[in-house]
Order: sequence, then C-alpha cells, then structure tokens
Amino acid sequence: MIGLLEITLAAGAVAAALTTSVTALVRPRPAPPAVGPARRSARARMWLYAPIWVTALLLSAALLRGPIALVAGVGDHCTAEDHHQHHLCLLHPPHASGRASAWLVTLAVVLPALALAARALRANRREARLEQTLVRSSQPSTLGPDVRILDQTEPLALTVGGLRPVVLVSRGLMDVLSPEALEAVLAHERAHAARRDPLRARIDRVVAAWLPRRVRRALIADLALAREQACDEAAAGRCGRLRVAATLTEVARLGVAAPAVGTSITSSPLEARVHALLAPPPSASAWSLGALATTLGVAALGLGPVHELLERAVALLLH
Amino acid sequence: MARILRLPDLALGELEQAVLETLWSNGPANPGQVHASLGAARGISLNTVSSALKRLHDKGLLEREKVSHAYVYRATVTREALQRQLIGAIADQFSDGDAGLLAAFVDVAGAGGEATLRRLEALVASRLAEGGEP
Repeated sequence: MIGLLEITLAAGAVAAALTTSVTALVRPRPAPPAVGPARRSARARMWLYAPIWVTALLLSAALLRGPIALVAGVGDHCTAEDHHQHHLCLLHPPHASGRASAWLVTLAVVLPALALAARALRANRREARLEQTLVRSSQPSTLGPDVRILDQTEPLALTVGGLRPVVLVSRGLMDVLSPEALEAVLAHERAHAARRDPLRARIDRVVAAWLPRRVRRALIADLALAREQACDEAAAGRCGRLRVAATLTEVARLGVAAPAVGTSITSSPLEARVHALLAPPPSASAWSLGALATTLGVAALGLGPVHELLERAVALLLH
Repeated sequence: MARILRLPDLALGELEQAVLETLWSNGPANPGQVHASLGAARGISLNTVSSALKRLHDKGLLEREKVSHAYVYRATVTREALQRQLIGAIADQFSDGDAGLLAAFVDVAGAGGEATLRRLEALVASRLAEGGEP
C-alpha cells in the first residue's frame, strides 16, 4: 500500500504542477460576451480547478485501467502475474521503494501549494470577521429577516456571509429607489444568497492562489461577471428583463459618486450585463462540446500514456 | 473627524459591538452604566465590561474623560462611519485585483464611465418606449 501511495502522490503532485503551469502559459481569456452565465462560470471553473480535476481524473483512469481491463476482459496484462514487470495496478500494488525521491517530489509541490492556499485562507478569515462586524452593526429591516439596513447615504446593496448569507441595503438606496427597482435589487441580492455565492467565491479564491496574478485576475473576474449575470437572470424571472436592466442603469447613475465596492473588470461588466438582459435568455446549459471533449481527452490520457508513464516511474523507483 | 482605523481593529468582538451599540443608543456612559445596560442580560462582570471599553478605547473607537473616579466613554465614530470603514476594508482585502466578493449590485467602478452609462440608459429608454415586454 505504501508503494502505491508513494507513487500516486508523487504522480499527483507532478500532474497538478504541470496543469497549473499549462494554465499559466495558456492565459485563458474571458468567454465571449454572448456566452451565458452557466457556461461562462463552468468554463472559468474548469480552468481554475484544473489542478484538482485533471489530476484526479488522470490518476483514477491510470489506476483503474487494470480493474477495468480485468472486468472488460481486454487490454492490460494484470492477470498475467508477471513478477518481473512492475505493474501499476490496484490489485497488485508495487511495494515501497525505501527511497526518499518520490516523497521529495510530492513535498516539493505540496508545501508551496499549502503555503499559497494558507495565505488565501487567512485573507478569507479576515474578511469573514470584518463582514461579521458589518452585519452586527447593521439594523433590521421591514423587508425580511434576510435583509438588513446600513446607515450609508450612498446607494449600496450587497450580500455577505459564507454560511448564513445576509443582504445589506443602505438607507440611501432605499430612499431613492422606486418600489419596483428596489424589488429588482432585492431579487438579485437574494439570488446571491440562495446560490451561496460569497462562499463559492471564497473557495475559488483559495484555488486561484496557485496561479500567477494576471491569469488569476482574468478567471476570477470572469467568474464574478458570471455570478452577477446569473443573479440578473434570477431577478429578471421575477421582475422582467427590461425592469432589471433599467434598475442596473438607475443604480449606476445614482452611485457614480459612491465609493467603489470591489474592483472593476476591464471591459465594463455593467455593459455586458445590460446587453445580456436586453437579449433573450441564454441557454442554461453549462456543458459545451469543447468541455466534454476535453474531459474525455484527459480520461483517455490517464488510461493510456499516463498509465504507461507511471509504470516506468515505478520501475525506475524500485531499481 | 473620525480616525481611520487600522484593519485589525475594525473586526470587533461580540461584546465590543454590544458595548458600542449601548453607547450609540444611550450616549456617553461610564463602565457601571454600560454594565447595567448589558451585563445583567449576559451574566458578565463589571470587569469584563471595563476591559471591553478599554479595548475599544485603545482601538480609537472611543474617547474617555475622567469624571469623579470613573471614566466616561464616548463613541468617536458613528454607525455610518464604522460601516463605511468596514466596507472599505473588506473591499481592500483582495485589492490585488480580484473582483470584490461583496457581490455589490452594481460595481460602480465597473460602470465603464459616463459615456457608456449614457449609451446604456438610452438603450434601455428606447426599449421601454417601444413598450416591450418588461
């Protein structure tokens, strides 16, 4: 078992490091404007979480090739008990190598990854404590237990909190918006709460810590746009697409003097959101042919070349 | 003019916030008075309340002056000012460029400027005028 763990962890570490490097080199651009939020978000997450899903898929496929072949009755020579060949197989795992090399490779990747993730986790925690203070300082509203009031005269509406999201609305916003516009804003923010967007964004942020800054920013920004559009769609379901689009421009107009909450994305997200609302509803499907093909490709890599590679690695280690 | 608070000082504990609430609602008070408003309900001692007041004072959220033998504490920030600073601090957490997690309804900085906003308003207005399905 140790032998299997040793080689699997090292292989996983290498795969994760390579995947991250590929993402860093490719520098994935945001999806084109016409892409709906489900697909935009799925595409961005596919890149962001690649070190995890690609590694998991490659390793599972590589390790399962033996048992699959056994069941299917074709392919791998696992059943041919050739003791001079080192097979990568769950049924006949390699023994421990007694050397440090594989473990060192694992540590060389895992330690920096943990350090980067820890930094993001600490930032998340600081943010959570500040949000807690903010929510506690807010006052109850007549709009529901999930909505609380901030004293600000600037128009603000935001959703904070990981486990129990709360919608915060400023007095300034409530004083100037028409009831219909306020309804649209609340529908949008409540959608963020229902989707647990603050929590998802926090997890995204930890995983994003492994990527270089520019690549990270582009992916996170795309995810942010996808989130906003998804909640715009939810609000549009209640209030109508045009009403939500009008509310967006109305609040933007009001807020021109307000402090910037969050940073801006390169091409104006407001424009993208308004155009999306003035167009027919986008497809709700997250999967594209490209995504499916990529996944199958990675699985095939695992079953084939990666499996062979690992067997060579095991042979190298045990000699 | 309210002091800009350091980031760590802005995250307040539950008791600290309750103390601040009392001072906001009831005005300046000494530890005994604050304890009377709070302590009984929470079963905490006068000492605990005094410590919380002192902590808030050290953070710059309260001022105090000695009246007879006790300090009378007064809030230096309003609720609005504290909230403004909190929001700013939260937004700054990831000022490294990651889009804010506050899921603000409209990210004003992302509105793209006056020209874009005018164009969008005109677009929306013309659709509304068409009497299109809202």
